[in-house]
Amino acid sequence: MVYLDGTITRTFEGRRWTVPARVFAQPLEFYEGMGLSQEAFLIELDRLGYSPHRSGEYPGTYHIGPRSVVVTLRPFRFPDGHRAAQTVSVRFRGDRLSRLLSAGPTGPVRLEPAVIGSFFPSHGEDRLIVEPENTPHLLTETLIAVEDRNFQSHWGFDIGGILRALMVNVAEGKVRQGGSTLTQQLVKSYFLDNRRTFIRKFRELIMAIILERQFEKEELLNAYINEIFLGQNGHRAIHGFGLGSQFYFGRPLEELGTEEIALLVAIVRGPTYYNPYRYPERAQARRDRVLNTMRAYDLIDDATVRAALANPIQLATSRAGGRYYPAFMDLVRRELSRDFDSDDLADNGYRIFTTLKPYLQDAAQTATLRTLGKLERERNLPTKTLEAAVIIRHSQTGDVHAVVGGRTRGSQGFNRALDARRQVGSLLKPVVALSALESGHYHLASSVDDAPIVLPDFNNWTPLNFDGQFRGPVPLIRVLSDSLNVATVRVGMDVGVAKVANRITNLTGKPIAHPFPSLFLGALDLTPFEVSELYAAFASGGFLTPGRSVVVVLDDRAATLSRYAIDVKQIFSPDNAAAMTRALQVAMQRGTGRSSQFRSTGIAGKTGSSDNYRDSWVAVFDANLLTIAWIGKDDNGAHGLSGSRGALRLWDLLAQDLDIQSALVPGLSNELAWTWIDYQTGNETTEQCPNAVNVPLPRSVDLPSKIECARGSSRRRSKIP
Amino acid sequence: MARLTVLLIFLFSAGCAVKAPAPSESQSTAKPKSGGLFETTNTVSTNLISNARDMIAKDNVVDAIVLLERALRLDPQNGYTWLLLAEAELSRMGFIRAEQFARKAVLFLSKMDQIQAWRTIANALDGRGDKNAARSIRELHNVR
Repeated sequence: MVYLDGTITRTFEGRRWTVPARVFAQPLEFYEGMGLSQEAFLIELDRLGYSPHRSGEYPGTYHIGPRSVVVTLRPFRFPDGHRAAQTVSVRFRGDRLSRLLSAGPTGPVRLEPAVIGSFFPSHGEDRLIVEPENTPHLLTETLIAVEDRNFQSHWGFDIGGILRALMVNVAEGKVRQGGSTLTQQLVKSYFLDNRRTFIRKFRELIMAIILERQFEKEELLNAYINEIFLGQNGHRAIHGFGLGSQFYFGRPLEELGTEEIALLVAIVRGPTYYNPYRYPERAQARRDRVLNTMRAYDLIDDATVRAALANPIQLATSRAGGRYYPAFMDLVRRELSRDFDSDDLADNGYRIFTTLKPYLQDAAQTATLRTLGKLERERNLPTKTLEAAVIIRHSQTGDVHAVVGGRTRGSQGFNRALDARRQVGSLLKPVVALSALESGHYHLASSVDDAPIVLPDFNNWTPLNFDGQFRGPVPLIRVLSDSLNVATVRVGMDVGVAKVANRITNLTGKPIAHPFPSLFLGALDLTPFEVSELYAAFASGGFLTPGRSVVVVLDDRAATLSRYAIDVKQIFSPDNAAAMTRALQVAMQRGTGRSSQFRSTGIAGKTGSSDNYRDSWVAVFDANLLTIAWIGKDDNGAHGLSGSRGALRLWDLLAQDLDIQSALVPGLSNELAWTWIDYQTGNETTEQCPNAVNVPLPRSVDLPSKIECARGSSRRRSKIP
Repeated sequence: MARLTVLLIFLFSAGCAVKAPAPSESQSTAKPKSGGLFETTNTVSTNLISNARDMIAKDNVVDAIVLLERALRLDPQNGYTWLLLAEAELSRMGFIRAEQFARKAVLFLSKMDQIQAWRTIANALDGRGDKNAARSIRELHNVR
C-alpha cells in the first residue's frame, strides 16, 4: 500500500502526457488590395472550422453582412508572438479584398494556421492539452452529472453508484451502467490495462483512493479531461476532449455548443460503440439521453434542451485536427530528421510551422486526379494505370507549398514526389543552354546546325530529333524551345559533357559519376523534388534556393528549438538568368509548351519526356510559383504521353486556380540589350514580324538582318513582350 | 554598429519620404519593379519592415529576421526587404548570407538603389576578409 502510494503519487505528480508534435500549415495573411474573393475567404474560414453567427463577434465565428464580412479571429500563439482574439471587418470588390478594418495593429492580418498533422508515437496516442481555464464549465458539470454524480463528495469510489449501476444492469439484463467513478476511469486509463479481473478492479479501487487523498478534485478532473480515450482514426488514438473537439467538430473546445458537448460526453461511454461517424443514430440517441440528464440536473433550461434535441449531429467533414497531407508530411519528417529524433517529435508537444498552403495542395491533388482520369479515358487505359507526382514551391523563397506523392489522396504510400527516380528527358536541355551561354561562345541567337551528327568516340551514337527531321541552322533559343535533340547534342559536345555534368551537379546536388553525351538529352534519373531544385535556380533569377518545408520548431512553451531560414546563393549571373528565363518563356509561348492555355501570360518552363514515352514531365514557373509535374507508370512501362500531352495538361488544370504572374526576368547589365530576332533563323528583325521574339543579347553581337521586316534598328532597350 | 546606424538613418529618412499607393498582390509581383527603392515599397509589408527596423535598432536581430522573412513571403520581390535582411545578417557577422541577400536585392532594385546593395556586398566581402573582391565591387559600381 505504501509502495503503491509512493509510486502513484510520484507518477501522477510528474505526469507528462505524451503530446505529439503538431504540424501547422502556413497561415493565410490578408491585406487591402490582395487578390482574394469573398468566396475564397469563406472557404479558408470554413477550413479552419469558423461558423456563421448573427454578429460574428465571438472567436471562431463570422457574419456576412450586406457590405462586408465581420470575423473574429481566434487567439493564437504564432512563432513571432501571441495574437489575442481580434475582430476584423473585410470588404470585397470582385476578386479583390478592397477594405480591411481592424481594431488591432495595422498591416496584414493572419488567420491562425490549419493543423495539417501530428507525429504520433508508436502507440498512437494523440491529444491537445486543455487547461482548466479553457474548459467549458458546462462540460465538467455534464461529465459529473452523467458519469459520476457524487464526484465532488466521494473518496475515489462510490458505493451508491455501484449499487445503482448493479440494479439497472440486473433489471435490464445487460450492462447499461458502469459503477466506476471518474477517478477510477482515470486510474484505469492512466495506469492499468483493460483486463476485467478482480485483482485489477481491486488495484483500480486502491489507486483511486490514493489519488483522491493526494490531489485536489480540480486536478483530477483536468487530468481526466486530457486523458480519456474518445475515438480512433486509423493508427491514431484520440485522447482528451481538446483533440476530441477538433476531431469531431473541427473547432476548439471552448467554441462548442450544448449539443456538441453532450455528444462528446456521450462518446466517453463507448468511443467505438457510439462512434458518430459510423453509428450516427446510436450516437444521437445517447447524446439525447445526455441532454435530458443535463436538463434534469438544471445545467440547461427547457428552451436550450429543446433546441439542442432538434439539432441533428453535425460533424466536421474533413475530420479536422485534421486534414492530413501525408506526402507533404513525409517531406517535413525527412527535413526534421536531421535535427530531431522521432521520439522527440512524438512526445514533447512541439509545434512545427511549415510552408504548406492548403489551397494549393488541394488544387494540386484535384488537378492530378482529374487529369489522370481524363488521360486514361482518352487513351483507353485501364483505370489507375497512370501515376503522378507534383511539387509546388515558391520561386523566390524556396518554400514548398504542396507535394502530391501519387493519385491516392491521403494515402501514405510510395511518395513519388520524393522517391520516384525517373528519366528526365528534355528537362535537362536548359542546363546545356546555360552551359553554352556561360562558355562565352554562345548567345540566344547563335546559329547551331541541326544536321545529322555521329559521335565516333561514343559507340557511333547518332542522335535523332523526335520527328526524325533536321532543320539546318537554327538559333540557340529555338534549339531549346523546340527541344531539338541533334542540335542540343552538337552544342553540348562543343561545351563539353563534363561542364554540363558539373552544372547539373551544382544545381541538384547530385553527383554524376560517368557523364556521357546522352546526358544532354536527359539520360539521367531524378526525383521530382530534385528536378524542382534544379529549376529553382532558373525560377529565382540564378540563385540556388533550397526547398524547405519547415520554418520553425517550437517547444511546448513556445521557445524556439530550430529555425530554418530562407537561404539563397547566386549560382549564375543575372544576365544569364535573364537569357535563360526569356528562353524558357519562349519555350512555353512558341515551343513545346505552346499547347498551354496560359502560353501568353509570361510563364516560363520546359516539357520533357523519356525514351518511348515512359515519363511525361513539365517544369513551369512564374514570378511566384515553380511547379514540377510528372506522369508515368509505376512499372516504368510506356504510356505514349509526351510532356505536353500529359504533365503540361495537369499543370494547365492546376493553373486555373493560380494567380499567374509573368516570370521574373532580371534586369540586364550594360553589356546586354533587348533585341528582336526571328525565331526561325536568329536574324535581326522588328517587333512587327510574325516570328519576332525579344531576347537579351550581347551588345557586341552583330546579327544578319532580315531585310523584309527590318524597319530601322531594333537594337534598343525595350519592354519584355 | 556605426555602419548599421548609418544605414538605419538612410532607410528611415528615405522610408518617410513616400506614401505608397494601396498595393495589390498582382501589382506587387507582376513584373520587376522599375521605380526607385522607396517609391515601390509595398504597404503590405511596410509595417512589418518598420517593426523589423525598430528591432534591429535595438539589437534584436534574430526577431527582426523572423519579421523580415514574413514580409518577404508577402512581397517576395521587394528589394528593400532583401536588402534589410542582408543588413541584419551583416550586423551579426553573417557575411556569407549578407552578401547573398544583397545580391538577391540587386535583382529587384532600380539601378540607383542598387548602390546600397553593392555597398552591403562589398562590406560583407570585407567582413570575410576578401579585400580584393570588395575593392573591385566598389570600383565597378562606384560605391564609396
